[in-house]
Amino acid sequence: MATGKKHARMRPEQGERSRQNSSYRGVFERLSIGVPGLDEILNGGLIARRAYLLRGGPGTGKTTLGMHFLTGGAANGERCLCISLGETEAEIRANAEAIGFDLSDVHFLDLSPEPQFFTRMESYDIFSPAEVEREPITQSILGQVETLKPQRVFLDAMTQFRFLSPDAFQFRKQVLSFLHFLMEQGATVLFTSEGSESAPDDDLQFMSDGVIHLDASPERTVRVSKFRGSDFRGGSHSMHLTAQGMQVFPRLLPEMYRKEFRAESLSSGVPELDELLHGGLERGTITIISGPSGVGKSTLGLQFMKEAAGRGEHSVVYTFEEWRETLLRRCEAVSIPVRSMMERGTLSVVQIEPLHFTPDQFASMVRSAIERQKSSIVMIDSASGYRLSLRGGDLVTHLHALCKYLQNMGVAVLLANEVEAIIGEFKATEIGISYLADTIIFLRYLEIQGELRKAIGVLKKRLSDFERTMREIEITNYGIKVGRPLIELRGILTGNVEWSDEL
Amino acid sequence: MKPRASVLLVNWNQRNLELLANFLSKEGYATRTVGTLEAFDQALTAEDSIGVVLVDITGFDSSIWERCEQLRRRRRPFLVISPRQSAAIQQASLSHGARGVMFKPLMIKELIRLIQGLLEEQE
Repeated sequence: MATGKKHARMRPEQGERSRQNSSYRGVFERLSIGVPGLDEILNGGLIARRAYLLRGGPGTGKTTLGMHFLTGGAANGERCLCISLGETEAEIRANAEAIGFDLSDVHFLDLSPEPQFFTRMESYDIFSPAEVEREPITQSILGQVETLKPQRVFLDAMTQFRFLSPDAFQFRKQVLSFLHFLMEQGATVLFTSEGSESAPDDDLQFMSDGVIHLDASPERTVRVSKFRGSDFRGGSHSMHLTAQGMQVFPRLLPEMYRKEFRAESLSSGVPELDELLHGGLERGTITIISGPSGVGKSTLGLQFMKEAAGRGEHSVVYTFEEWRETLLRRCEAVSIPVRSMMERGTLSVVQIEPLHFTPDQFASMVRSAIERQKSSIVMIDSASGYRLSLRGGDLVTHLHALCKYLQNMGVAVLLANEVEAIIGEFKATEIGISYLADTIIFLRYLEIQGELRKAIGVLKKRLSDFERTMREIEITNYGIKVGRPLIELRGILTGNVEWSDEL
Repeated sequence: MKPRASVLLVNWNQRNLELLANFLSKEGYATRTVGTLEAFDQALTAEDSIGVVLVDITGFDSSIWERCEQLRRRRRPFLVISPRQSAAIQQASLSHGARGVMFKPLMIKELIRLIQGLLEEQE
């Protein structure tokens, strides 16, 4: 059995989706589970002719995933069978069709109780259900499977068989035997369980070749805890149940992506700013542009994008706080032609609605855009907006992963970072992300002789030297103007600016 | 070859009767089913080929024991089926002539073995 996590680390060229190591692909035939994001988590899909447990509480999406599994197979011309012990065929078909699944090529074996069971008082107590019900159910399944020879079987829910077994040992033996029978007939089996603390399903987890967990609280997530013979992407991944079915957004693992790129500097198009940075910002680096509200962080980032557009390169801004239209108008007003850049396809401005996305979903959207548009600069405006707008916890870790991914893809990442203090004691960032940065550019308000002015400086630059002095910066109708080094001032970082006595 | 004696099934629950009859007929036994005391009385007087009687006391009143006494007098071996483990029911069953008491739910294999044993005694 081919195992070993070392095989999973890939460096796909040109931003292609991470592909599974050929050593895995060569050994096992893979089947798509029908949800692309989940296939990615499963390193390419389920291994064929094995049995997988799909577990989760009510409303977590087990049947929906089952429908993806079956319709995905049916679309490839595979024979697919749905065995239902709970819901009726009519209920399943109606619910599936409501979210756009075409089950016309899916065969059904409806073993749910008939209404007559209740109306005809068909209750009995002379024998246990195990003695009475198991045999006809087994015969129905055997008959259907031997006739159809299905390549995919979705069974909802295996836990029903527990009531048909006199004890745990018999249940285990029967389930194992049943799964082996299905697999011998050439089927890949996905079966559900309604495991809970009061009714644990650990035995089913041991018996299956893979375990997929669906959870609905606090956020919808999917997690794989076991996959015999294959590596898989661990941890919880965001999942959505939409009007089109299930969508899964795999957690971004930056180390799985790599693109060859020239380690060159990207000019800002403002010579004095490039002097400050000793050439500009390098591709594949993360730059934090830090400063108080309204100081010009977004404008500075868009200045780099304007210059990139001149070279025919694409950039994208994700704006979390400012309305897209406001940002566009503001940029137009300072001679950054964002609308024409957008028309020429060299700029995208994406507004992120608050609490609409999870970090995994946002990362998936960014990844898709980057790989489609080959963007060279990405600005996240702003880091605090990212934290406030996305749902879920551990947001700094997610932001870190996203930035590292972009970095590996050769993208120059600009992270606007707002600091609370307008003037006063200097802080590079207030949310503990400075460790991420290859470059930190800071913008400050200064009060000089009663006039509010702005200064720009570089605090850190890993890939080159940089100017140690600050310069005045002005954002005018004609664009960004950066002045000479402010060598005659001191105390800029404290906000209490004084003229230097040494001059 | 002498035909196999039939099994009289006495049960208030129709579904139980159906299930018992189905399982026993699959094993090759002829069965007759009764669901009321009146039908039980008729079966006791009319049927001579009964080899074994299974009496599920669930749902009947205490007059079921009178029928059990009749079975004893007619030397018809019978088993009492009880809805639960109960020493009182077991004692009453045996004192009214039952050859044994079984508690629900029954194990089919065990039931078949007991019926087979009682029929072999008859032969």
